[in-house]
Amino acid sequence: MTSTSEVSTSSTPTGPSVPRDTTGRVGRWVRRGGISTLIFFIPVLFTYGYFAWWPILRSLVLSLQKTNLVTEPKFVGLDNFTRVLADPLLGQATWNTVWFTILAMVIGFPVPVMFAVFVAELRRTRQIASVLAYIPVIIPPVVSVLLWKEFYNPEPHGIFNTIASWFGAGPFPWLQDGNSAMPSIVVQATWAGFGQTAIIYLAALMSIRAELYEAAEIDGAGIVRRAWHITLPQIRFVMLFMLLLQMIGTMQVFTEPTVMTGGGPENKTVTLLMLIYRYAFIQGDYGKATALSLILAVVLSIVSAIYLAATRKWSN
Amino acid sequence: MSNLDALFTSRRRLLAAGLGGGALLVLPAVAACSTSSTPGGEESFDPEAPVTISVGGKPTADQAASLKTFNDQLAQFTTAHPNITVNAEETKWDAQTFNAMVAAGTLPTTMTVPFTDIQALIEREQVLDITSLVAADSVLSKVNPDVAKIAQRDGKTYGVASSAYTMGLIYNRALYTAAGLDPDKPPATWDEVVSNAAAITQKTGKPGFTIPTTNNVGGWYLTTMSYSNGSLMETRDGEKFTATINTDGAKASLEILRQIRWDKNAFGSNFLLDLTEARSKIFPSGAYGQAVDGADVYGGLVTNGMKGDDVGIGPLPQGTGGLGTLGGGAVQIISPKASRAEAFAALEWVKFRTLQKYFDQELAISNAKAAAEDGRAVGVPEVPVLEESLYSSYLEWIKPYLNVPREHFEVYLASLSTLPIVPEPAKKGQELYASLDPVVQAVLTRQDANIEELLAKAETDVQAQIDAS
Repeated sequence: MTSTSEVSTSSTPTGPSVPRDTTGRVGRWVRRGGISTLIFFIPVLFTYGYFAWWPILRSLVLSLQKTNLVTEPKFVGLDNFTRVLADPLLGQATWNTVWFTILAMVIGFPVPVMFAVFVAELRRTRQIASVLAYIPVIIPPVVSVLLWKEFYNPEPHGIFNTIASWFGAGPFPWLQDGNSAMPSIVVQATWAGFGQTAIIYLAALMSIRAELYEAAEIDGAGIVRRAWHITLPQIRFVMLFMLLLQMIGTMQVFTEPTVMTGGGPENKTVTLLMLIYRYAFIQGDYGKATALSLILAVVLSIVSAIYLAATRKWSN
Repeated sequence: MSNLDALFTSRRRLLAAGLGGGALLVLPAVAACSTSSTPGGEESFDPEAPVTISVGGKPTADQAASLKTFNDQLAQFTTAHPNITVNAEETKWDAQTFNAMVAAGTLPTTMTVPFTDIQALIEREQVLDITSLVAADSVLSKVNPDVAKIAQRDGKTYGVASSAYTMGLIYNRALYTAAGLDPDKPPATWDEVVSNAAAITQKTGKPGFTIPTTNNVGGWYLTTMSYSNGSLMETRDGEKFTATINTDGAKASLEILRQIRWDKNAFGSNFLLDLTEARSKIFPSGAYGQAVDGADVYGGLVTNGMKGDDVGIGPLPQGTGGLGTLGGGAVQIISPKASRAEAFAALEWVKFRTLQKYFDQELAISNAKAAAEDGRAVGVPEVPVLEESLYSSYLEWIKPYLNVPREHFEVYLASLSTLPIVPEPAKKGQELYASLDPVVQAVLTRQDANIEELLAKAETDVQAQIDAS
């Protein structure tokens, strides 16, 4: 802005500056590719506006309304939020979701990091290992979940139970037991998603300068010390970011428990998104569904902000 | 002209005369209209004026014969009702898309919804009140009252039942035989169900009894069993609804499940069975001996590979003070956004499409033949939606095309006239079922599950949801 005003002033010392000023700005904007920028921007604006921002805005409004989608909706203040908070299942669903997230962090976070570090050390088979790790990602989620549901067949002839029997163990109830259901789901989710995360870590690892490793090797550092003192510090920003994404993603887990257990046994795998789904599509209560969605979004935003603030020093 | 055509024609004349200010015969209908509070409920209309409606349920292209019959029927309807333009679509009931269609205004003028969902739609005012139109119609008003009440509330009618069945005991006749049981003698009591389950497991090694327990289905089945053991899940006093879950009937039902699971070890090891999985895979494969389900599952079981001769259907066993059984079936609803003229035209189509076969021999034969050619079951046990004599004539007409061994279901068929149909919980029914799923799962997965405590908690939870609504 400063440069624009300076140029305008110098070129029109005495005349009516405003119109010429504007023309100058517009002309400069056009010359600098403004129109093409706008042409590229409009589809994005339309797509995000219509399919993302507008629905979000509608959700905000809907969370304050009671509607049957036929008659005029009625504003009910915070009634939908009150009803959501009074739902006896909310506490259980919240804990289940947090439990899934914790398990996913414990099981699902280190696996792709370790895999990526391991694959980065490979020379000839790196590509094959990467492809093999990525294969689960290209399988449609419902298909892979149904596949694992078969693996978890509680009958003695189920695949995992058959394998367990080779070692004289089992049969295990897997998904049928309240204690083992959620960890079983997390293992499946980790299998399905670790390939994608590992590829990102691998890309980060490839950008680490080779001289660092060469220097460490000259100093006599083994693979563990190299990984600890070079690799992890070098990819810490990616790790912190992936951890945040993983946390946000796992807090919204839906497909796996829905298909595998339907929330059972005894609501031990009902998650917040399943509750939102039930409100909307089983009970037809869009007010409650959007209210809980909003609560979840706000909580995730706050947690993300705290996380970013807490890890800012380390990531820098 | 068939009997039904004559009825249609005479009714149109009556309504037209009524609009002209004459016939006293239509006064009750007009009076009913004036008190209706639903959209379009107070309009007067000319039944002969041009009107366009959309109708769901058009057969998909893979059902070639049925699609041809549908198109022929549509052509006949359009000829008989030149003022009605019908746009047919393949729309079927889907809980995930129904609300989107309502919001977008793309719901067909009429479509089919299952019995299990009609009360929730009524509660949410997402279906049109068609009380006066049904009452004024000489055919629709004669729908079997036991079936019609499924789509009624507070004396008002919100849908027309087009097919109905009752929940019963589905069993595998081959496994019955293998276990030394008589497949022509389905169990009459729950004790027999338990002992038969034990016998099947003992003799065949296969689970003797199962029910799906997820996605509200466990609650649905527990409700069905509680009815048969003498207890409702919900009572009503005026405008006040009370959850009555912690009852003797519910306890007895859970005790039956507990015995099969823990005492007889005859429930198998999958306690999170999904309804679709049970119907499409588990039961058709012959993996289970007995289950609770609707009699209409016959078609699906056979389509999924079960031999028709292996399918056994018995009446729902009754315990102490049994109240009857829960009903199921299809209800034709009218879009809440339909005008009165559109609703009238749509009901004309509903009659023509779903009920005319009971009056028109040629159409009955054509429908049955097409269904048989498409490989669908013809003659599945069902509750007559109109009077028994009409249904008997209909069965006689389509006899050459019956591909369902109805002789296997004689006990069930006999029960249709004696076993009362008890409607589903009217208030927060799906929420009630959702609260009962974990109760059923607890009894099946924990040997020390405290039935009394589980039912008391579920009752408190459901009552809280009823009170909050």
